[in-house]
Amino acid sequence: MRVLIAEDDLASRKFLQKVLSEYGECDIVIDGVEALDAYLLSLKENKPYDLICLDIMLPKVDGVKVLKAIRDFENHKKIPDGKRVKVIMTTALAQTQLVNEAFEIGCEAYAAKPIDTEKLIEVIKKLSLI
Amino acid sequence: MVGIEKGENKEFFQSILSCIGDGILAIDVNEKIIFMNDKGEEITGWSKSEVLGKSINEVFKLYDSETDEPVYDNPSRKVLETGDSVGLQNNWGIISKEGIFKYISANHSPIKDSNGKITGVVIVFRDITRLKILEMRQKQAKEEADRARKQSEAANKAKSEFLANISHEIRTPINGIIGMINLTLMTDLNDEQKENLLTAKSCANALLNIINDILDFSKMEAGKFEIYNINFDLKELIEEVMKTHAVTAREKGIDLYCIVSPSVPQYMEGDPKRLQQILNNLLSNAIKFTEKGKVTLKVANDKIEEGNYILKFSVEDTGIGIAENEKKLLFQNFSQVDSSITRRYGGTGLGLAISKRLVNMMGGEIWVESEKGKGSKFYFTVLLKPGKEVIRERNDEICIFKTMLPLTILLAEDDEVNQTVCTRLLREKGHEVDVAKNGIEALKLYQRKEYDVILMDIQMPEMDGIEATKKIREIEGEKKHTPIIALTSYALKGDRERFLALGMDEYMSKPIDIDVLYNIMDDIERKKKQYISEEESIWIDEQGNLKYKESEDNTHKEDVKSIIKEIEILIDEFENQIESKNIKKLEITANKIKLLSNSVDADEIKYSAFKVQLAIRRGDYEEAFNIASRLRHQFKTYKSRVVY
Repeated sequence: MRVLIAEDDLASRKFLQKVLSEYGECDIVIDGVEALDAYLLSLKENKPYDLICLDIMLPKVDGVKVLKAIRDFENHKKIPDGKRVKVIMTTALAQTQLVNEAFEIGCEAYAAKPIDTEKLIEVIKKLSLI
Repeated sequence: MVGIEKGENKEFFQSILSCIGDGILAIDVNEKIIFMNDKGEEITGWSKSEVLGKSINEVFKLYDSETDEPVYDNPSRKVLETGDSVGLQNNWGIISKEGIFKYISANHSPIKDSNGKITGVVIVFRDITRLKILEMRQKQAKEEADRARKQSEAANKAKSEFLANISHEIRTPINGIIGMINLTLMTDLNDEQKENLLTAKSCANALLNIINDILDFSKMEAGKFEIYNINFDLKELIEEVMKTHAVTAREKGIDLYCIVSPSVPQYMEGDPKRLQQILNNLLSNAIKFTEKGKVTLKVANDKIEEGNYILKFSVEDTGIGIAENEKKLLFQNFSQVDSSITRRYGGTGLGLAISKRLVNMMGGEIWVESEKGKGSKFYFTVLLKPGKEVIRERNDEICIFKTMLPLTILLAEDDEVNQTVCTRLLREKGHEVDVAKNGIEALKLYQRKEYDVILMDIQMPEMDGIEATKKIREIEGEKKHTPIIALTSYALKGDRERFLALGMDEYMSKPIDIDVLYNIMDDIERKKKQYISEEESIWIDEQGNLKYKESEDNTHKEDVKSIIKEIEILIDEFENQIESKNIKKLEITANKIKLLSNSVDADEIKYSAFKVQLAIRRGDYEEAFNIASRLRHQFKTYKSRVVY
């Protein structure tokens, strides 16, 4: 499994990296633009990510906008449902509105921080990634 | 009596006139003196025989007692001409026969015969010299008192300003102490060393609190203290206050309770910092003076007035209590109720005096109910406006994480300890720091190198921070704006506004608080990131390129040229860093190359640099070095493609 962790808070990203590295290779980005760059780079190199953990409150371009750009691009390229990247939104606060928005655009799950490791792994299993 | 009514007894009249306590003069239509009574002789020094038949203007020259000029507007002539009396005048003087100036009050009335024809003027006058002198003395005394009061006010203000200055002088070394302790705490320490340092830190902080008290107090005295009006979360504030005191209470074995009435709104508008200060003060006093038992903080909604809330806070303890006659001393400056307490309990005795002033400034009252030996109940009220929900700011972590976007920082600071502390704190975070000792040096460095931010001490020798900032802004004009943060320990209200007006972007008071410094630096980093790309909208086009709304191609050829040159220099650095296996620097440089190549559409280079970053973050250094070493070749290909 290839994972992209988009998270500007160092403590959170170190944590996610530690947990998810057991299941696959994790790349780390710290803002929305980097997240999109990394996504495009992975497609270019034909090593697409299987999972993106996307923080809602990312600097430069927020997580919801990143999600929208990715889904729009996938729609445009007519990528079939099974091959689309799975996205788990992460958030520090219960930003209900943003989470709802993210679900409308199309994310697979959402995890509130502090992240519950067991639940996260459970969700990833449900997504058939591990 | 019959004779008086008939006007027959001339002698009788004469005797009445001479017995009257006021001087009386009469003149005929030619202004010749025809009568003067005994009192008149006494006041003027002239005898009747000397003046009768003489012109009044020859004998009594009237002076204006305020200007010492002769009165030209002769009142007796005026009466003769108009037939109207001239009422009582207080501001005249005459010179007596002996040459003494006498203040007189006088009124002039016409003498009319039975046909109403004016036959002369009668002047009734009184010597008011003693009264005048008394009046003048009083006036003088008042002026002197005024002068003395002004002097003492000026002296008091000078004292307050002196206190503010001296507090600054004291804060500077404490800043150094706390900074050094913080830095040492970041190193590897054994438990005992850590414990000792934490104690030292808490001592330094306690000292700082005292200095802050004095500074607050002198600011209040100098009239430079203001209360803010901002939205805040009252619940959070109370929780924080309770948390602060929980440790001390637990150590003393005292129970600490908090009861907040449900009618108290969570969000209020007012000055949270000052409210917290009052609460901290009362709670720490309560805990300090209580040996066993409990301390309870209660918050209730007293009443609502015109939409504003009056909140009533009470802090109740089971401590030593205060006797009736000691209560009035409580809220006075520099007083602890029992001076013998001072040594046992410590403190400046300024806390309650400051609290009282703060409470008053917030439209409330503070009072105490207590009995010796039975504990005390301190009450205070404050007037607060209903507030809006507070959007919590992120980024309240204190941990020191290396920054992902290192900044190039210029620190202009003359104090060596502060230089060291500040530099090390920033380098600890991964930023690059240059140091200038004064404004002139700062200016020189500024002209030599591009900085992301300048930390500018206000008080510096040779050229101060304000002057240096002015010069920098002059050089920059409108095209550029390097953020400048003012550093000063001379923190008086209104300074921030002044610094901002002088072209600075932020303001930080010393001693430097690591969290504040890091937060400000983070803000600047964030702004810098936004500056690099401030997209409202972003999408991926069909070719898989990132597209931004409003992304105009306004990069000039000249810029492209210089950017390419910059990238070339960075690639040189890059290769050195690969050689020395300097991972930290390598990522910083990779980031710079990525951002620069993005701005000139050098995608290949951008992605390679980005891949280096990703690999480093993964911990895959070998991969990072591999990609990095290919960068030079990619750059050459790119450069040959670009047509200038």
